[in-house]
Amino acid sequence: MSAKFTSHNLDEFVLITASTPDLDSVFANECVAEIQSRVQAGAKLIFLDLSCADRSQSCDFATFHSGVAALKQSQNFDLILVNVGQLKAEIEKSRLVDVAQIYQAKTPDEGRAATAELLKKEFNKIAATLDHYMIDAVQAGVQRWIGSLPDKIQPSAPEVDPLQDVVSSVTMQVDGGVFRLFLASSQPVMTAMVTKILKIQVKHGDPLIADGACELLNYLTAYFRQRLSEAQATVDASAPQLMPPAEVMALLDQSPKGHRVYTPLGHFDVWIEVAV
Amino acid sequence: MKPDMRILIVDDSLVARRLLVTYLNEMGIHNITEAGNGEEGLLCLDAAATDKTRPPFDLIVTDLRMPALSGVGFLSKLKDDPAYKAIPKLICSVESDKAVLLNAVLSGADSYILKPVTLPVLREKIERALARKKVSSS
Repeated sequence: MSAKFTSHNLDEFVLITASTPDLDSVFANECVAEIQSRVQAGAKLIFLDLSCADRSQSCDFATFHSGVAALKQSQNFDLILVNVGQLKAEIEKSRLVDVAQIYQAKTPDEGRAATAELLKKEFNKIAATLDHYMIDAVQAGVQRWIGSLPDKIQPSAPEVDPLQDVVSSVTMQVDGGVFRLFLASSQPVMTAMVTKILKIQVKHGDPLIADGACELLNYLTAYFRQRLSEAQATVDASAPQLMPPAEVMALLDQSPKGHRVYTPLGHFDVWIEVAV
Repeated sequence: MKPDMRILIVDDSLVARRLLVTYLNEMGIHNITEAGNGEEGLLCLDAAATDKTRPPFDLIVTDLRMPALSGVGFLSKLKDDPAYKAIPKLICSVESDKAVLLNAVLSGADSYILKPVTLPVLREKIERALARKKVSSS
């Protein structure tokens, strides 16, 4: 039986969903070939959803395992088998390959939900790493922007008034994962910063204030990107955008956590959201 | 440096543009056109090319990360256009990643100013860019 695959490609993270009912030898070989092609394309972590092979009557798991074992000798990747169903015992007794984790689901929908959750957990791990780089980038970016280092940076949930404050965002792709970086500042703080930079008195409501929030985020993003590049990550970042109040409200409903950055001119908040 | 020289600033940040305009004014340069991204920059150049009542641009200062058309995209289009490729082009960006800068230079930038720009650095970079143009055209 010929196998069919659908995939959710996130560059280094790939979810392969097999859509044939039997894990026979043909399908097992095709699974291995599919994994090989993804690994050669740069995948480091592969989720293989075997929910359709759950009721297999002609199971040839040994072929699959030996194929993956051979591949692992030459390539560096992790494989997570999802929705293995009745194959669980087979997988557990096999020691041919390292199966990182085994997840079970009773229905395909449950399986998809579990897989999505799994992916999100992986990206949250990256978000935690990004958070570390962000603090570093905030130090450098603020120093360049206003000419002095932040007084302190503290973990904090952002406190934002969507109607009064200015909020800017940048979308970043880091190693295939999509993240959004946010900056929220009160108008008086941003006014003070822009006034200091331009050496002119900026009035309340001046478009320069909202633009300042975007430009400051631009500075932070540049250093953020630089730190990540130094860590060998592939990074792409959009231009900063100002967020409308309705979008800010929706964001705050998700109870984000980030950092409060205290500067001699007042404080602002920064945080990261996983966008996958 | 001619006080009547004409400069095109391409940057999506009002703050960054305002700072550049302030410094250029302090250098005695007032013939400045502003564009918010690469696409607007191209429109300004095309408009200047058809307007015979005003002199062409002597210099372009552009940011890198912008919506619609990025600085690299903008420079790449100018590089392939015989009408604009001789105009000196300065990057003015907060990006300091070597790969990003290399990409900008390969796309046609003559030099680079790290934000936030200061008056002495801006003056020096403009003078050098114009001097290089003079040498290459003679």
